Amino acid sequence: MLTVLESMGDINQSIETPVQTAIPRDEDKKPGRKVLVVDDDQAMLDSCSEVLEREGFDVIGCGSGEEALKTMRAIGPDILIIDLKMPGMSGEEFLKKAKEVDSQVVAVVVTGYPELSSAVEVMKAGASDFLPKPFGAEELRIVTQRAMEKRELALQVAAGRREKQRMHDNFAAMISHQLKSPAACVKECLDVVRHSFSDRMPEKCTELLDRAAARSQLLLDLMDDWLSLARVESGQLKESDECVDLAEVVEEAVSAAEDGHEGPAADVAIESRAEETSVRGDADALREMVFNLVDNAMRYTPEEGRVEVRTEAAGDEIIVEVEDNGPGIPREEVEVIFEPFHRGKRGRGKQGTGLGLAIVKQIALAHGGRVEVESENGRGTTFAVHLPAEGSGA
Amino acid sequence: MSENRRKILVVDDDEDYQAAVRKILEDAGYEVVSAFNKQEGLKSLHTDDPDLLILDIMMDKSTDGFFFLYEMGEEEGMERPPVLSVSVIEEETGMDFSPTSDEDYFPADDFLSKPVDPEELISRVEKLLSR
Repeated sequence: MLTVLESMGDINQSIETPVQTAIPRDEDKKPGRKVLVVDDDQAMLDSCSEVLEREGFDVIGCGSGEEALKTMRAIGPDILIIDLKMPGMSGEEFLKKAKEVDSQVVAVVVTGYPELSSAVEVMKAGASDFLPKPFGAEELRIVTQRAMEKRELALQVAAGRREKQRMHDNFAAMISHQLKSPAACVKECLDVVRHSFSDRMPEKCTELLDRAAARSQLLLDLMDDWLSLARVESGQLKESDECVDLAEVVEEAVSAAEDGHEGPAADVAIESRAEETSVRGDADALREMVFNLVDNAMRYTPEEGRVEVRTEAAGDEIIVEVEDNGPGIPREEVEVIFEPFHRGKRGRGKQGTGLGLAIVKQIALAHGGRVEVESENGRGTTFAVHLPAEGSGA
Repeated sequence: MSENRRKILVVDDDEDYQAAVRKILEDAGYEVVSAFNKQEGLKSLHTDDPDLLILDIMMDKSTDGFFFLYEMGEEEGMERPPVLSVSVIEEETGMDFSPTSDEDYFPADDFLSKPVDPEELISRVEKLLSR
């Protein structure tokens, strides 16, 4: 407990003759800046209140750690001024619990010189400053003012961190609306011109517009793939966990890939070699996974070539294989094809985003599966996605 | 201008996009009325009596298209034209809603994502108008 006699005279004197402090003060009273003083000595509580209320703080006094914890939850103070030695809950114990209630709260401990070593301990435990007894009004003001600056900084940092998190969470939505809208509009206008005026344009003009349209489509595809990868990072990739028939997913994905392919393309054959081809997971993500593999195969296979998509069961796994007889992947490239922004050099037709296989791998992993690739230079490539079968307990 | 030209109301806050869609629709012989926000759109429903509505989902506020549909549905005694919603939002957006998976909450008759292929737009419009 504080030695009141030692400190009181000093405080009272300062109250009567207010001293200009060196620290620049915000003269406007800041509403809601709250100081909670925890001390079992009522006289100390009163004198602290008097000094700090003149500084524009709201001051609340509590006679014990137990009471202070309750008050803290109710009013959310910015600063705690804690007497180390109190009957019942010690100042140190209170500080520990107070930090659990509000990790950003700034605590100042009040201690006598003989207890200086314990003050150091408490500072290690999270107090940011200490006031050695006896102290005067001026010291109390300075320390509290300093604590308040610290609190404001901590609150700003916390707000900044929240904003960053919010930005991260909204990243996908931001990209989709802020970037996709103008890009979609550019593509739309190009398409309208290509569609409506093609008979009145010189050939060179048509060709350049086609190029511009293809590149703006690539821009849109890139944004969609970014969104997919952002979902991977935020764990949204496997949003639902339902029974999904992979053979069905394959049919849908192949038809979407065929629809999306521009120009002549290799035949895509579908074969389901098992009766039960169900897995657990997110149908949309799995469809995207197979789509990317088929789209990829079509892109790298000459139009007279052939793409085969097989679904089969082996042991506890359902396997989707996508085989093409395209040019194959050079050995040195096989290692890096699943890395984002890798693009094969032997592609034809529409340019890819370089993110398709990275997404395939992430979706397979999120479903407890894996992707294998076999490729022979000049003879073709087979991608095989292995997923745990429904009910396999995996 | 022939009397029986079908009238299409396009509600979209993107002027440039409106210009593109207007060209597609007018080339195909439709009359086009533009509204650039929810309020204008709701007003035009009464004054212009369109045969079809093409609606952007995310306008001033990301939910404007949704509320447009709700408010339109709540008006008594009005025959509701078919609605084709067009937007950049798809399932992949990470938004709280998605027109394809939350169709119960989004009472549009058909949905296309931007940019739309001109021929695809006309074919969807024809399909909705022939219902």
